Amino acid sequence: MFDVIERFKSWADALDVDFCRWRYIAMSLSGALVLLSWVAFFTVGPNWGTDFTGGTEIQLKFDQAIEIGRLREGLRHLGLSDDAVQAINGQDSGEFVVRISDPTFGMEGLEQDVRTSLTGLYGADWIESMTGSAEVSARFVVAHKDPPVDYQVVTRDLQATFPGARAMPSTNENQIAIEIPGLSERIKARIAAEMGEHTFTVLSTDSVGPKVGAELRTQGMVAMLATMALILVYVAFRFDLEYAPGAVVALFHDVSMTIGVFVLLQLEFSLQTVGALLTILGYSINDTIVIYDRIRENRERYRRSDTVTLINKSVSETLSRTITTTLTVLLALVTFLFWGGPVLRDFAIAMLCGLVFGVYSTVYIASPLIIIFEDWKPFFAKFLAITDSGPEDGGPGGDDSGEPGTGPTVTESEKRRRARADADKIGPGTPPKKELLG
Amino acid sequence: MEGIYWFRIGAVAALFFGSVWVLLPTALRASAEDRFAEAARGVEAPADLGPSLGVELPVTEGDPIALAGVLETRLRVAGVPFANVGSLPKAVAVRLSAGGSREAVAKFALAPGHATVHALDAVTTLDPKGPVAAPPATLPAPAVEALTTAVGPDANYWAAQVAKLDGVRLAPDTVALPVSIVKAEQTDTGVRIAWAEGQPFPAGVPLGAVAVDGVVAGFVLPDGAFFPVGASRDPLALLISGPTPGRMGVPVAEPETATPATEEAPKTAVSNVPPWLEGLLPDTAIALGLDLQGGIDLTLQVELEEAILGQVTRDTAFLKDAATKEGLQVEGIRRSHTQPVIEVTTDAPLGDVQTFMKKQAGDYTYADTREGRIHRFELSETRQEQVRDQAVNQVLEVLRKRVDATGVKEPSIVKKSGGRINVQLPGMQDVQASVDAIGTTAVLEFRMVDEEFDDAYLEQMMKAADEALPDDQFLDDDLLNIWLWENKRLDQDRIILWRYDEQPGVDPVRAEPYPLISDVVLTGNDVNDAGVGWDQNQQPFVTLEFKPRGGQIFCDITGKAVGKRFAVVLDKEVQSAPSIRERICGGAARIEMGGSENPTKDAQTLALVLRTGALDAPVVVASVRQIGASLGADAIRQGTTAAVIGSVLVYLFMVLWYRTSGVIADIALSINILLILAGMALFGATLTLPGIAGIALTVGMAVDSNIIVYERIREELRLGVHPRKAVDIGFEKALVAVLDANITTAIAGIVLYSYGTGPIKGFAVTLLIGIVTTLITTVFVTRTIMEMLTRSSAARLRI
Repeated sequence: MFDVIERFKSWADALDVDFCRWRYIAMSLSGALVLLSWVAFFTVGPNWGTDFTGGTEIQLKFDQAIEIGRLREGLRHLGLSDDAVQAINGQDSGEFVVRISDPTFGMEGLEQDVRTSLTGLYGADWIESMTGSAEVSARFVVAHKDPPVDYQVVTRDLQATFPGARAMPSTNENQIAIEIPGLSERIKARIAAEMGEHTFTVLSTDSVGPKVGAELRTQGMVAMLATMALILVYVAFRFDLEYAPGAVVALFHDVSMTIGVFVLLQLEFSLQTVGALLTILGYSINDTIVIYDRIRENRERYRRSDTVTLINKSVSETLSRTITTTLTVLLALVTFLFWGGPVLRDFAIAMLCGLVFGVYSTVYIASPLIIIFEDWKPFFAKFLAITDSGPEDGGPGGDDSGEPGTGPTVTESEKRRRARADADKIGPGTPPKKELLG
Repeated sequence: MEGIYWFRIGAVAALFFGSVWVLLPTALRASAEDRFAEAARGVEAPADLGPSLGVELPVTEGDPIALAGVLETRLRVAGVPFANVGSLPKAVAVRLSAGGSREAVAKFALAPGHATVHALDAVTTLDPKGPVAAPPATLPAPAVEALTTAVGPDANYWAAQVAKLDGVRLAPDTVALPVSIVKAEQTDTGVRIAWAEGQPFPAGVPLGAVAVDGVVAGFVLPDGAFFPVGASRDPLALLISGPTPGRMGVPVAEPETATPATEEAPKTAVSNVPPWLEGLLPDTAIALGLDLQGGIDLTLQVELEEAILGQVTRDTAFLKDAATKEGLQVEGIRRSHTQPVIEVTTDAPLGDVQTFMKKQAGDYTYADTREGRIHRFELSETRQEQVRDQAVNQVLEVLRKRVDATGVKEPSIVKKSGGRINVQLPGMQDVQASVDAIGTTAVLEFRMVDEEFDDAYLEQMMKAADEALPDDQFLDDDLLNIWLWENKRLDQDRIILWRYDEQPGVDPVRAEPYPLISDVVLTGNDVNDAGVGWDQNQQPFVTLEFKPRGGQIFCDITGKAVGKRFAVVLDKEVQSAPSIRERICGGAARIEMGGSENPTKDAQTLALVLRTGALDAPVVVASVRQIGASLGADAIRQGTTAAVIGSVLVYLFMVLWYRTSGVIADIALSINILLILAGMALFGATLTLPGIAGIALTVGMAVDSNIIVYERIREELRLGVHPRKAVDIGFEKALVAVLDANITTAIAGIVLYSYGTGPIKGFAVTLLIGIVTTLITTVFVTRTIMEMLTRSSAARLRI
């Protein structure tokens, strides 16, 4: 066992792959896939969760396990499609999720009922006008004529017919707002009526108003863009201008691909998913940073090398680390796929996608883009009026005079390193590698 | 060098023991909760109920089983939400659901009502000063039917008579029928009353009115069929009490301390901690998120635009008056239908209008002029912002009071952007009851102070009550008044209410009793607006503005009661009792804050209270989530199982991959997890399901830092550097990358924290804490142990 690991490690250490050779193929392919993901996102559309569409989601557990078909049949009578019902925790757990995205579901006839009640209570022409709307509960604004009725009295009177109804005073005189809550209660009651002898308990309900849903969607988008922008600024600040766009494009790629997978598999796109996407942004950048760090370091070390060689070398050098950390995070995530329950499963899927795409994009998107943006850098620099000076200016084929410019801050170890690096260029120290490429 | 090394060892030890210390209360508290679960097992709690709400009433006399039955009936009829009532060997235990409060349970457990039955003649002797001028309530259909069969063709007349009884207090001299109720029980057809043997319902009386504590609760047919009137169900519950089969003591506060043996148990939940440790333990705990413990999550939307339009409407009314007073010739001043804009239609020059607006309504800025004579003024953005803030704060204030009243443990009320308020009620299950409990507007009433009431007698009365009643009952305003009425110490048309002193963090205490006349003269619905103003001496005062009907009544009352005081009562607490200087008509009053220590703050509070009757903006429920406790328990089990398996796999992997150094990484990882938990306890963070995943993910990511360092060290070792030097260089070199990687993750974490709600926020918190602890453990723990191992010059390092 140890032997295998040791051999693998020395293989990975010795690896020197020309990753950049396939960069154009890889980047075009990725570009196409990203495009495809967004096309699918806007045409097919993801399977939006209740968080975003608004509506009601009820999780039921039947006392005796029943076929999903039986429940679907019952709900068809209520005008719900088969997609609205999903079994969770396995086929025979008796647990189902019912999703109803129409916010006014169960509200039919309610307005008329309320109107009838009010006219019955306070006289036929008491109501002057009445407007209704539905968020999580049904809400009616009633403008009325004299006599004024205390809202507490209206609440009390209405509760005889509509349990839980509530009247609220309004700042306008002779106007009252009435809220009939519990659309989810009405839905529950209707399901119970449909299912007859099959009794169930409600494990959870989740009602979201459509307004909130739409806002959460925008906010999620903004949050992701903000994260990318902040990371862009940070990378530009910590590394160099030409590094930053690549890192962010890679992040965009990871998120887009993950979204693409979610659209393709029609997995529920919920708040948790957006949370996972944001986490992917934060995690996938780690890989990129480590390799960028190495490229930056190697650029100092091998001043003669061109960027392509530098990138190949840096990616190869850190490959052992990349494999190891990917494996550990994979281990931590895979368990959630199997044992984490329905909520965490989708989360784990999103994170796994992000992890895999993240490793790939670091090598084939973030790094090669440095080459491209390096060429653009003078333009950017002029545009941002940044005067770049010092040894870092060395692009491909830059000056190789080595020592000058680094100033007195060179440490002992740095000097040693330089010496070693010079030796590296000519010395025979490099282990055999080519044959391992296969 | 040597100094830094020892410093690191010290730091590691400090971190370790500090974390253990911080986590101790959480660990111990968990077991305290287990103990309650143990104690409550006899109560047969449904699996869906959280462990957080319960009341235990010690039985001092009689059979707990019988008492539990009586209490259950009372609570059900009274509409106090509860999950179940069970009997323990020497106590009755009640588990509440949303909307139920300990106070309500105590009320029904401790005070059986005093029910009397009156012939319907009593209708003619009703107290003319009946408190509620309510419109006739409709009779329930079965009641009308029963009346028709019982009374015959005159049923309609009787129905009208009976309907008037709703909530009305009987005159003190009304004589009760010589019947006594022995039993009242809830049957399928309604409530039935049984009469005492030898004291049957008198012949010739077709219908009786039943009054509880002098307030009409319903009517009864000779055969015992009882029909409640109105929505006031409380008296009925008292009535149903009948002869109590025993006595119950004062309810024990919280379930954790409910065991009778530990009567002097401290209030904190850490009840199984040895006393010497008690004071030393830090006040930290990891709370479980709603998704793990079950509960209700409500998001309320305050309709901000309506608040602004309401403000503009009021300003418009004010400006109309002002224009008349100033003598500005205007054809009309009106509000735009959709915008916060006031339109002044006049032939007067624009300059005059602008001067007028500047003086009277400086918050409005000139926008444009249409058709040459309609000048439009828009409410300034700053003022709009103020109105929005004010509307949201008002709702927040009301919500806090309401949630407090439910007695839910560790609720959370958070203001979100866009006028949204998020309320979390852990342990609650009944969505409807929660919305009812916190969504109801506070009850604001105006009552007159009885100026003739003798102070000495008040004092004497209180002394007697204090001596006669147990503390809990004495301190409950409702129960105290009932006792006073029953013992004829207080006239039934008087009520004693208190002004309370409220200090942050302390339970409010009674400050000053007010003898009030029971009649409610005005309610919050009559109030249009209230605000704070300043007089010439820069003294703040509260402006109070009534709606026309309210203004009319206020004018009448103040005319009759110059020199007397009226009390502003919010949810049965006296907020203020200003005296009336003169007759106030015109619908606007001014309350001066004389004698107040902090007049500005008091004025603002009072204005807020006065406005609660008419909320500035309507509130709608934007989202409701209800998570069953069993689902939460499942989630905890699944989440922790997955997290533990994942962590074990990572541990094994590290040992296989890096051997000795892998063990070091695992040690660091263990301390890391300990630190994450301690960090969460320290910041009072909430553990959610994604949070558990976050910890596991952090475990996966934390080894990343170790791996970056290890790989660096390996590179150095391959170059033939001495292990000790390799460790130094490896850490120095790798730290930059580790730092950069973690900071970028933290950026995403911070965005996630501000975007997410509930579970997602919990995830962001664990992620962020994990990043910090990972950095700490990498720098201190891993490095220290590595240095320890490579200290000797002959050290060898296998990575």
